[in-house]
Amino acid sequence: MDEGLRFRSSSRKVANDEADRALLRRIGHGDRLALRTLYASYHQPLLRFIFRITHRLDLAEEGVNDVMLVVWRNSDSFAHRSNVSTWIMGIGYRKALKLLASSRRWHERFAAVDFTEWIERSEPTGEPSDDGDLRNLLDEALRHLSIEHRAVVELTYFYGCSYDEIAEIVDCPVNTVKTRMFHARAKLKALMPRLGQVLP
Amino acid sequence: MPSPNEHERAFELLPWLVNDTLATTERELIESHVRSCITCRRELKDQQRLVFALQTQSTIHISEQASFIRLADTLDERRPIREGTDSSLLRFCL
Repeated sequence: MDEGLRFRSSSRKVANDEADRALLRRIGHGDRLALRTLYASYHQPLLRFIFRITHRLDLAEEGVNDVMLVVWRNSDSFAHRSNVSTWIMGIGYRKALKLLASSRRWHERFAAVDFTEWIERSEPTGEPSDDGDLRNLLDEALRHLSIEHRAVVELTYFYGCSYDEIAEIVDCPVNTVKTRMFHARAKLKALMPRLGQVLP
Repeated sequence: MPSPNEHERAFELLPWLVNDTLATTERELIESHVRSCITCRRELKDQQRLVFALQTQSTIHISEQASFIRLADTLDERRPIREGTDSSLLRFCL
């Protein structure tokens, strides 16, 4: 499944949310099969999102399971005013920040570790294309954004979230989301002046 | 000639015009501005390119099943398995 599409079309969003709510209710009764189904839907979106925040595949893997463990234990605490996807991605964002902070503390206390091998495990799908260089450029540019800016960019462009949903996921006012996006766009433009010429 | 405030607001909201999540009224206002503003039209094109580039980026390949098995090992037993759950299905999913 294209994980980006999960959040895009409003009709699909409603349909998905109803199914997700039903799964959460079952999880609330200890139904592991329901957890397995929800896990299958959210594994890729969470993995990508947490990887985007941390740039560490090992942390992303750990983060996905941390999030789903929270869902398993606390499905009752889901606030019904939001979508299940918004709730889960919000847990994902907080877990990513927490994992990154504890990893940095560990890193400062102990030796520098080369995690290149982890990053290399992320392989592109499909055949190499002429757009490959540009995507590498974009990837590099995104790494230069702050975590907060990167999260807003990713949630908007890849996951198709509204600014209200993003405000809930990253737990900040809507105006802050808009401001972060404004600055992120300016920085991306400065980092990628060729954007207009290279992309189709 | 669009007012500066109208332009700033439209320019700020272009990413959400592109991902089609604006409420109808807001979307119509922004679209109306974009039709008369060359700067916003150019920016809209750039935004669409960005979305395309992000959407076609590489996918991370990690075995979802192997990851779930690790999670299943850590699930506590605080929640009883619901009565009536098909045990053969459970074995399959774990």
